[in-house]
Amino acid sequence: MNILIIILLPFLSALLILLAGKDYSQRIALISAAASVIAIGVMLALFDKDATTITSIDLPWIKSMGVHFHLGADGLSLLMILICNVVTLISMYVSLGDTFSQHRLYFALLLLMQTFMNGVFTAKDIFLYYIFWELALIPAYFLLLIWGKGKHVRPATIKFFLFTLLGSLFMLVAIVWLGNVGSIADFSLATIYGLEIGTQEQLFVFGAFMLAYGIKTPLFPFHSWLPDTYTLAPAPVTIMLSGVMSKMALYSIIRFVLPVVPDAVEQYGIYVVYLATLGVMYASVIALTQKDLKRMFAYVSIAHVGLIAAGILTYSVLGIQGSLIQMAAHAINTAGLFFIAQILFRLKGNFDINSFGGLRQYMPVFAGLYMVIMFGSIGVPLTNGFVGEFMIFTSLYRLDVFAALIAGSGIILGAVYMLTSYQKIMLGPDTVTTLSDITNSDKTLLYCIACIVIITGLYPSWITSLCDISVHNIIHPYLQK
Amino acid sequence: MNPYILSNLSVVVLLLPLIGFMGYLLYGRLLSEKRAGILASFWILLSFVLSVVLFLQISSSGLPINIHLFNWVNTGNFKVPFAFQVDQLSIIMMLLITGVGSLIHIYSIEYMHGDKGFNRFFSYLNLFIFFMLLLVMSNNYVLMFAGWEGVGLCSYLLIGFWYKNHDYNAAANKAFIMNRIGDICLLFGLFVIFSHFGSFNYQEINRQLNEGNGLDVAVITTITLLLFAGATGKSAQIPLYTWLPDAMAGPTPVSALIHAATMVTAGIYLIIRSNVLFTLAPLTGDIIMVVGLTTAIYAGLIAFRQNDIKKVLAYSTVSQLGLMFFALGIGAYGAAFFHLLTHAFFKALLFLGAGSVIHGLSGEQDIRQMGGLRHHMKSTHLVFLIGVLAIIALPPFAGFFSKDNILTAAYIKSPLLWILALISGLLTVFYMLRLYFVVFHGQERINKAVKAHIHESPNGILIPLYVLAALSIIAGIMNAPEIFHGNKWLENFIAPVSVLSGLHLDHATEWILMSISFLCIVLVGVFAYDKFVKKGTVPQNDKALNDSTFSKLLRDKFYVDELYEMLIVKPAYSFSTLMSTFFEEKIIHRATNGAGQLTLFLSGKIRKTQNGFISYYLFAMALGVLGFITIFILF
Repeated sequence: MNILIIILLPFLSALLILLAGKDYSQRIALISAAASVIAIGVMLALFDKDATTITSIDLPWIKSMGVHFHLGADGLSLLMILICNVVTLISMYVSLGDTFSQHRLYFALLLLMQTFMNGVFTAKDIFLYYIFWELALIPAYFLLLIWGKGKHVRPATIKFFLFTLLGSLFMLVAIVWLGNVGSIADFSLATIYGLEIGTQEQLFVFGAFMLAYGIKTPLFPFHSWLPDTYTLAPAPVTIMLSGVMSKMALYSIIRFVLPVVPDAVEQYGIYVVYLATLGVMYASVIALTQKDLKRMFAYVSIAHVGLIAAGILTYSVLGIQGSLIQMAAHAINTAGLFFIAQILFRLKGNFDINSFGGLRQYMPVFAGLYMVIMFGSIGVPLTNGFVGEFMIFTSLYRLDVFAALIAGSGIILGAVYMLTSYQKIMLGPDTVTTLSDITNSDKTLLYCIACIVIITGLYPSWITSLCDISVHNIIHPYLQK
Repeated sequence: MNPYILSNLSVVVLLLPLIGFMGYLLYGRLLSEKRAGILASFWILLSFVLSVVLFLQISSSGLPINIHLFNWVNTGNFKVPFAFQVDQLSIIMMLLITGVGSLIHIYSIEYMHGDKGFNRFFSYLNLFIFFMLLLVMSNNYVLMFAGWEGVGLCSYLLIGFWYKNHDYNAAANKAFIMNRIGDICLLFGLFVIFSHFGSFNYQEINRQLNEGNGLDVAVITTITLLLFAGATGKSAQIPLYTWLPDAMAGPTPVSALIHAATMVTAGIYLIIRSNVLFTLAPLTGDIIMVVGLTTAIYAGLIAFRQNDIKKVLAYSTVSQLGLMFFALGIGAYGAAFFHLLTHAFFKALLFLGAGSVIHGLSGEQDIRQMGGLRHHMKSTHLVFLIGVLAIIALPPFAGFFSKDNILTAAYIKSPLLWILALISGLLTVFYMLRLYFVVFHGQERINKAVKAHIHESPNGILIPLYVLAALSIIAGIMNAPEIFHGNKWLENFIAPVSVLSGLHLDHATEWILMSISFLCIVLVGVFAYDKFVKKGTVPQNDKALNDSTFSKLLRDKFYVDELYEMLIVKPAYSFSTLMSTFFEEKIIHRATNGAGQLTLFLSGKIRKTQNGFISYYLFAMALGVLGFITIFILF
């Protein structure tokens, strides 16, 4: 199956929604998202694990600049597309539970976001990659601006936009420079990988890329845009941002930073590791006293992606593989958590942890599913949060004991804030009102998420074997030097 | 027996409890109380029967059974299989877990009768048995850790079983979080193990150690210290013991199964499992010895002044676990394991007996509101007495043999240690007899409303008690020493996986030591009898004014909870508040918002340069060109 379908399917669906005479937006969006998941499922089934890439498309595009429209996917890309499409489906499903004004535009924008993010994960031309990267920001910007809730939506949105744009600009300079190092302008990944870059230049490229990715991931102390953005955005958009957009940056570190500027990573990566692990601790400490559930989950997300970034920058097969498992886990778990926050919001109209209490007796199924997802997020063994974390920590420990210790605080604090907030919301004596358990459609989604949490926890090896070749291709050239 | 059948049998033993749990998820709500209870007990009983088959096989062949299911983690040289190793140590643990587990399941059918969450309760118990079996059956540290955290999870679920009570929920959280602190130490221990040995597999690590590879004492000491730190969390040793007394918030069968007989002994199991490592780290051994002995004495002292029947037993458990660690510290792995088993029997008996009392008294747990119960609950009284006699190590009860084993090992190490261990044993004698006399003898202090309903427990509760009582009497035979014409069967049985102590005392010394300790026990017993039965002393109220400082300290458990609250919990939250209100808001957000405002400000200024005068632009252009030329010339 051609990889182009992954891009075209959501793109054409978005156009269809906007141009159709009648309003079928919900149906089209859901079918498209489901079809995307099926498409990637088929691709995974057909994927030959020993092959480096699957069928791709390569057309000259901007000839004067040597830019190609070149798409392709290896195991790593397929994993990211899978994450993107599954999270999109979850996001669409969550969207059905609320009403949105101008919903045709809303669903079209979500689909466009998916399109561009899939583009990021498949681009084999670094300039094309940059275009997708920036394009993905635009739907996110409008989704936030139009459907965000609260007084501070405008400043928060502008902050989000400016922040990420600022980072990308440095990356653009680095990309243009990389494309023009050789005798003829060429942005194809194969060429970029083959470049011999001096140490000074490597540092410059490393700095520019890491600034962009550090802001997008985000890493401490560039995270300041995130809490407001995640809190104010509607739940499905938060799910997309935390589930996929943060992975764009993490994926890019693996894809572009490690193989292109290996010496700089070897030399300066440790500082990013320190920053990231410090961020794990910092975000966990802050999460401890958050009163707003959604905001707390936002900090949880910062802590988790910080650990993933640290794992990647250990620059070892173990750390990267662990990070990949953890990326899949984080995408599912945060999607679950933000969905839970949304369900609670529908009950009381706010996210204040202290305003809930004693829900468990009315909502036993919800309580149970919430618990599974919570333990996944805490990283209890046999849930999806454990194995990746364990691998990242092992590689961190081998790189630097101190960094591992700093990040280790997050493991303990994670249990503290998750359990205490669960206690405050779900447990305790009767509240006055009588409630019924969540609707069947909400149950279905939470059941699916909980199943993924357990299955990935029991058998995470499919991720490592899927990405094995890709990771080795990224790490090995360096080891051979 | 066919090895294929054997390996499958082991997997079946492991999976039966999980099937019980999954069954609850699928159709648990549809089952009546009785059916759910019987079904849940059936899975565990079946698991027990199959364990017996496995046991017979292993004791006849002497070979462990290895099972490899699939690779859990597999990347490069980092491999963690879902694989099991049923050897002499595992199989005894499996018998204990499924055996005591089924008794407690059966007991709970009656005990939990009428509870709204009856079916849920049994599903948690089944899940617990699954994780506990996983813990003892796995052949590598990572899978063991999965069981380790899994039992912690079930403990969390069961302590907070009555989730409408905030105190219970807080106790559950405390248990999980304190265990997590231990767990992270254990995790780091695993990282060091992997970095050093390149494997998590027990057999592989032992092979390397036996070949003399990787005998770096500093590294092995680090590993063992970290593993021990993990064990202090799960097995409630100083400084991570405070969760266990609070954990009594859970239903009494849970206290018996998880917080006395099985889960809390996981730390002991871990160290026996890693005995090859621990033998190579004498420093760790000394630390374990000191921590164990201190905990044994310290918890024994606190138990003096507790008035909640379950709290006394909880501190007693902490104290007995301390004694086991002490034995581990002096290298008497066999003795520690022996005491683990006998303790499981008589402590489960005591807890279940206490449960029977609580059940008979409509939920009353305060021993000041009891007294004279021997007339009302004859059978419970009898089995409880057997439990008490076993725990105070009176011959010929089971506790006598296992404690004697430890005392002998202590004497070989140093007579001073023998004295200290004996003292901790005498503390046990005193607080257990205090408990027994105050509850079953003396005046009746039961309040009238309760007295109207006082009743002996039904057979469903009593039969498991009889079985445990029988075990508490005879289990000493398992490891009877030569002096009683025994052959230390248990120690020899687990010899393939555990280092034998090897040293022996001559029989004359052994007789003398035994007589001294017997005499001391009787003396303390008489003293307790005099105080609590003859004089009829009843523990004072909490607010008694004539308390000495020391007994106040005991009553308030040395203020350790308050100390932790003040030194760790409060500062952590204050730090968090400080960071989020000051650093995050005032510095990070303001700095970044400031950057935005600066941009706006500068763009406002720069806009003024766009003033529309051609000459101005030309001037700027010339300046720019000049600048570029300068740069090109210079570089």
